[in-house]
Amino acid sequence: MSMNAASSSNNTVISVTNLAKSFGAAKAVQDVSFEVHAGEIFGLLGPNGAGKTTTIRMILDIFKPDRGTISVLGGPMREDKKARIGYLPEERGLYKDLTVEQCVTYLAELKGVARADIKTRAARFFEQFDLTEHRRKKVNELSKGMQQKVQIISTLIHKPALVIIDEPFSGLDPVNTRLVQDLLLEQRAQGTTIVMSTHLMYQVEEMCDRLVLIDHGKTVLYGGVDEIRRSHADRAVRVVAKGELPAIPGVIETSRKGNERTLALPHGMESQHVLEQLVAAGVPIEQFELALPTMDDIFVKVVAGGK
Amino acid sequence: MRKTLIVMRHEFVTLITKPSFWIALIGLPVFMAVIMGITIVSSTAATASAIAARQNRSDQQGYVDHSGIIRALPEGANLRAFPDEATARAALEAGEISGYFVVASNYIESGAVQYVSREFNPMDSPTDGFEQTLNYNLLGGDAALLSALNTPVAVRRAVATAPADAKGGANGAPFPIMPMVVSVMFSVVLITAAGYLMQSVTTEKENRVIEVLMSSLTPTQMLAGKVLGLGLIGLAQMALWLLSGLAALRFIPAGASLGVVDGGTIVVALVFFVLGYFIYASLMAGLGALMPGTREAGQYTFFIILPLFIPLYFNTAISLEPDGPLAVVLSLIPFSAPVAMVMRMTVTDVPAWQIILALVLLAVAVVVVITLAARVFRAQSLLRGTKPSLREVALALK
Repeated sequence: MSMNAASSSNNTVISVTNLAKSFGAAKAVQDVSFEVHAGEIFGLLGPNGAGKTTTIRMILDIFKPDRGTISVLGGPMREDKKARIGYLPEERGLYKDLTVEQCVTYLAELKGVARADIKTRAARFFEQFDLTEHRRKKVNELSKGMQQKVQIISTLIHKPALVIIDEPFSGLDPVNTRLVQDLLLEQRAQGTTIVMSTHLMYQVEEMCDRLVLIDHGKTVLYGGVDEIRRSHADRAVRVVAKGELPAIPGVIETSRKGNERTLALPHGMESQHVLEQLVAAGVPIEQFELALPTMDDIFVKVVAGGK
Repeated sequence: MRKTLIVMRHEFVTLITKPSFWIALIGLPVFMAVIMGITIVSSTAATASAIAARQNRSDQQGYVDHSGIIRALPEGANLRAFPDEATARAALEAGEISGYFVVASNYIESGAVQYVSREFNPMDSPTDGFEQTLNYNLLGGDAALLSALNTPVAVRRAVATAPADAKGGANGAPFPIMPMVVSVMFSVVLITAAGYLMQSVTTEKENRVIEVLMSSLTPTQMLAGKVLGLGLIGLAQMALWLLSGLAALRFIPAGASLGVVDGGTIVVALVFFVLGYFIYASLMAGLGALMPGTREAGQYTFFIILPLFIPLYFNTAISLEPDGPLAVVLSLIPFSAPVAMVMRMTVTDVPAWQIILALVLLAVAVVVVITLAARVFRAQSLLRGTKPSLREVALALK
C-alpha cells in the first residue's frame, strides 16, 4: 500500500513514504507509508516485531532509513524540531538515582525549556498526577505506575506539538489508565498531534481517529478507524429487543446473549429491510445497528491472514 | 552547544552529589598517605636498626684483593685480608666474618667488586666502609685527600657506581620517589575519570533512558557533554590531590629525593593529563557504548587501561634512567606518554624536542581515538541490548 507524496497537505504533521530499513540481514521495515494529520490521535499498530519501533526511530531521526522519505512538522527532521516533539519509548527509562524533580528538570532542559518554566509546569503536573509529595524521592523509590507517570510528564512538559507514545498504558492501573487517557484526549483538544502505539485495541477504538497497521515491515491496513471497521464488517446487524423475533427469510441468528442478537444477512439484503420487517412485526426494538467488527477482530484477522 | 553544556552540567552535578565520589576523592589520598607514612616510618626505622646492627657487630668483614691495590687499611676499618676466596668463604661459613669483598684483578679498568654475605638485606649497606678503604689506597694512603674526595657530591656519585656487583640499595643517590607518586596519581585520576564516563554511559543504557535522550540530542552532543563534565571533575580531583600531595611533601623527611617539580613542569604535566584524559575517556566511552551494561563493559576495562600501568611497572627503570631508551620510548608512545613523560620530567630535564614530539603524537592519537569513539557512539550501538559480536564491533568502527 503506497501513497503518493503529493497527497500531503499543510494539515500533515508526519508523512512517511515507502520507508525501508535493514539491520544486516534482518529487514526491520520493508515498505511503510502513512500520514498523520494535525490534531488527531493516530494509532500505530502491529504485532510484536512488526517494525513499529524502528519506524518511530526513523521518524525521530535516531535511525536513518535505507529507503523512503520522511517529513516531520513540515519538512525533513532537524535538530530544532526535537524540542517540539515528545517521545515516550516502549523501553521506559529514567535516572534511578535522581529525584523525580531532578529527572524531569534535566529531560525538560534538554528540550529547551527554561528552568523557571520547568518549575511551574512540573508543579502543575505533579499536582495533577498526585506526585507532589513524591517529587523529592529518588525514582527507584517509586512504584512502577508512579515512574510511568513521571515519564509521561517528561514527555509532555515542553508542550510538544507532536507526541509519539509507545504503549502509553502499560503498567498503569485502571484509575491511572483513565487519567492518562483523559490527558491524551485533553492534549488532542488543545491541538497536539498524538501518535500512539498500543496493543489495547479497545483503546484504539475509543481514542484513535485514524490508524496504520504494520505487519512484517509493511503497511497492511491504513485509514480512519470507523472506515476500517465498516470495510471489515460482515453482513450482519446487532439487535437488542425483548421477546422473540419473527423469522425473516434468509436471515440467520448467529449469536444471542440475553436480549442481544447478531443476525447474519444474506447477500443482497440491506439492513434497512431487516429493520422494516422487525418494526412491521411490532418487535419492541431497543437497539439496532450494523454489527461492526471490533478492532481486535480486525487486527487478528489481518495479521493472521498475512501469515 | 547549549545541549552539550546542559549535559556537561548534569554530569558534573550528578557526580559531585554522590557520596561515593567524595569517599573515593578523599579516601584515596588518605589511604596513600597512610601507606606512604608507614613505608617512610618503617624504612627509617629499618635503616636505623640496620646501621645500629652494623655498629654493634663485633664481627669483621673480609676481603680478597686480586688487584693488589689494598696495601694499608684506613683508621677504623674493621677488615681482614684473605689470600683467596676459598679461605674467605670458610671464614664466612665459620661465622668469623659477616661477609667478604672480592676485588677483581682488573679493578682499575672494570671497577668490579663483589660482596658475598650470608643473607641479603636490602636495608643493610655494608659497602660504604670498603669503598673508603679502596679510595684510601687509590689515593696512596692519604687520609686528607680521602676526606676531600668525600666532600663533593658529584664525585661521590661516580664512585658509588663503581662496585658493579655489590648488592644493597642505599649505596648511591637516594631513590627518587616523585616519579612514582606522579605515575600513581596520574593513572588513578585518569582511570577514575574515564571510568566515571564509561559508567555514565552504561548506566543510561541500563536505565533505558538513552532512547529518550536520543530524541532530544545527538550522540555527539551527548558524548561531548559527558567528556567535558567528567573531565572537569578529573581536573578538579587532580588539583585537589596535587595540593594535598604538595602539602604532604613537607612532612617527608629530608634526604628522600623529591625530584624536580617547578611551575613549568606542572603546566606541561597538566597538558599531558588533559590529552591523556581525552584518549582514555574516548576509549571508555566507546567501550560503554558497545557493551550492554556496566558489568559487561567492566570485563574489558583492564585491556584499555593497561598501557597506563606500563610506566608504573617500569617505575624503577624510568626513575633511575630517565633519559634511557625505555623511558624515552614510553614517554613518546601516546598511550603511555601522559604518565611516562611526566615521570621523567620530575627527575630530569627532558629535551624540549622530546616533549614537543610527544605532545604532537599524543594530539594525533587524540584525534584518531575521538573519531573512532564517535563512530561507535551512535544510536545503533547505544540502543543495542546485547553484547556485540566482533563483526558488529568492526561494523560500528567503519
